[in-house]
Amino acid sequence: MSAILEIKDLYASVEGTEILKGLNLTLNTGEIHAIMGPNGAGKSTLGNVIAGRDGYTVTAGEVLFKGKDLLQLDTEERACEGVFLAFQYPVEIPGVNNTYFLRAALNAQRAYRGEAPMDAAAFLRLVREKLKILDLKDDLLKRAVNVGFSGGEKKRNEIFQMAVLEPTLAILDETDSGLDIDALRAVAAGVNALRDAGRAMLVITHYQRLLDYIVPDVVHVLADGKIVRSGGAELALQLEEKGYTWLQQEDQQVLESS
Amino acid sequence: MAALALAEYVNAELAAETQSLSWLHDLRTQAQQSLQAHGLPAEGSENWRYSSLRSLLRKPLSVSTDVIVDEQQLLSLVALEKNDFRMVFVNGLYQAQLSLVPVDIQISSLATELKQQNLSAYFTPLPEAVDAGFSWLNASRFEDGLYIKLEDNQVVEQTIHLIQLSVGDVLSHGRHIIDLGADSSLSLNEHFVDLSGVAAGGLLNTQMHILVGKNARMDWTRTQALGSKSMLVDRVDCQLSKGAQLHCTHLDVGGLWIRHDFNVELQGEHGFIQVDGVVLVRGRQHTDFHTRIDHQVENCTSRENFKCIADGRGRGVYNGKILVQPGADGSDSAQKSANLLLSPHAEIDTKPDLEILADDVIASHGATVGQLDEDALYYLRTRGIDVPLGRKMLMRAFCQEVIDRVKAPVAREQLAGKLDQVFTQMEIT
Repeated sequence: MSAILEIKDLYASVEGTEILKGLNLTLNTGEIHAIMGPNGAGKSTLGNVIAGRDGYTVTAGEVLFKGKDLLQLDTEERACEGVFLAFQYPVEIPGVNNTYFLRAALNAQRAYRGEAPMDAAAFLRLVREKLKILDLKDDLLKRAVNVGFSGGEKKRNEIFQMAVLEPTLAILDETDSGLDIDALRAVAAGVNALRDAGRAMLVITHYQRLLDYIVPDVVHVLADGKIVRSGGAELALQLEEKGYTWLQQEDQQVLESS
Repeated sequence: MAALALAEYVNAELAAETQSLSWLHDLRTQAQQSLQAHGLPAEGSENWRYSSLRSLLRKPLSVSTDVIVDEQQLLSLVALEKNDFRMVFVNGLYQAQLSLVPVDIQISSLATELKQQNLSAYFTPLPEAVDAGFSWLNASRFEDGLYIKLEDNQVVEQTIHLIQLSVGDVLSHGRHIIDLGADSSLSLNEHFVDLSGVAAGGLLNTQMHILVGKNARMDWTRTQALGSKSMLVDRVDCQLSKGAQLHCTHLDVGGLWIRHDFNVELQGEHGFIQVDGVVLVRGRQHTDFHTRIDHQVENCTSRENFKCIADGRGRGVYNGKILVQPGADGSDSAQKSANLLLSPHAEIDTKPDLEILADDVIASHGATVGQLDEDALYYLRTRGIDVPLGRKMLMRAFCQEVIDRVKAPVAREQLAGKLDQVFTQMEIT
């Protein structure tokens, strides 16, 4: 078992405001980690820092991806190396056909790896096969990227893209938000189908609900920019039951007793 | 004849008339007099305020001479099937050996047709506005062009291509007449292309007169892909009868300095005009689109949708005049001008220009100027698409709405293919 992602004492800020304050996290191959935490804890910031969004400034610490310094790479290079971010709010791109977009992405990644581009016929076979896994209709391919998609379709489209691009590290940023229970199951089934010994996933969520379907190996609690607690899947259940304030009270007690 | 600066053509003598057509002689003389009196559009003209001729006037230009272009060269410029009907003009002169003409309709070169019949009605009256210099220049000197006359009920199933090819530093004056009888229908794909290379470029001064008869329909695409030194001054005058429909889509992706004047008179009830355009200006390219839609009678519809992308030091101008005449109630007009301004040195000048003199009228207009969507670009990048490709994809996507509005599938595919080619070849950082 080797580390796919190692985050060491990471500090990051957005528009001058420090959001991540000494975050440490290690994901090994084959693992799924969940990150939970209250609003404003820095969950989405973590996803965007790993993906390389402009405006997210790392002020200290390091992020290693398969041993490489990820922070030295451009956003698209990170993607080509195998980092995938499933967006909390997938972006609508009118005028860009979903199939064209996905084939351009796949071929950009293949070119980066020194592989020949995939032709249209082979690509179509690939996407048809992946559509089946996610129980998505063919007509999704013909539509503009995310335009006119329902909330559930957008999230499934994210997982569909992940299925086609087959990343080494997938970050799912609140993929459960705005989903009804059927859509949630479909998304979770898609994610579970992609569980693989060579892949790691970081599932960012507010609620324990998603973790009933995507059972994590480790659950972390992120609060005020750092991981304050890590545990097994049962930690999520405790959080669901007692709320985040429970942790704060516990910490307080620990503090007082010492 | 040696090359003259464009400005010198205003006072240059007309060539000795080769045809003994008195009406044509009179027309040319009158046009030349107006040209000498008023010159080419001056700096002060409101219609030309964003399109200064200053740099053009010094440009040395020669008159058309015979240039041999072979079929291979033609096919390298325009995607044509072997059997596609085409009328090919090189520097304004008809090329029979490159053309392929349907036999069951009246279609020929204007030079040929002038010898057959009196066409004076198509040329008069001459425009009188003081800034009509290019029209007079054309009227006094035109030699050739496309002539199509459809009889009532004639439906031309197969698309006809009009190809205007420019070679070298030549001033040409294409003159085109399309006259569609009642209930007839025509699909025309027009192409402005260039074999001048990167060092030279001509000035095409074209004029087109289009009559769309009662309940007739014309579907028209115009692709301007001239070379990087060429210029185009293009004027179109359309008259639509009752129930007539004209759908026209422009793709302006080439040239150095381009001016379009697209004038439409809706003369009969329930006429419909759609004029759309995609304009791309980069480097030092300048493209000025002036449309003028004149709702003269009741219950006509006009639709305009223009998209302009300006990068580098490019400049895009759009002026959309809508005139609704007194009594033209029930007029329905919608105009949209959307623009992408991608560089601090590029410029967009867009102006809706509505003059509504009737009461019961729907007239909507909207103009936007923006940049590429950074969120969309980030999204593309997180999938592995680099910035240059991502920017191209978003620019191409910006144009798609106009392409989607083209009704004829073949024409739509052609325009889409041309745009794909332009963006694929575009160098961008």
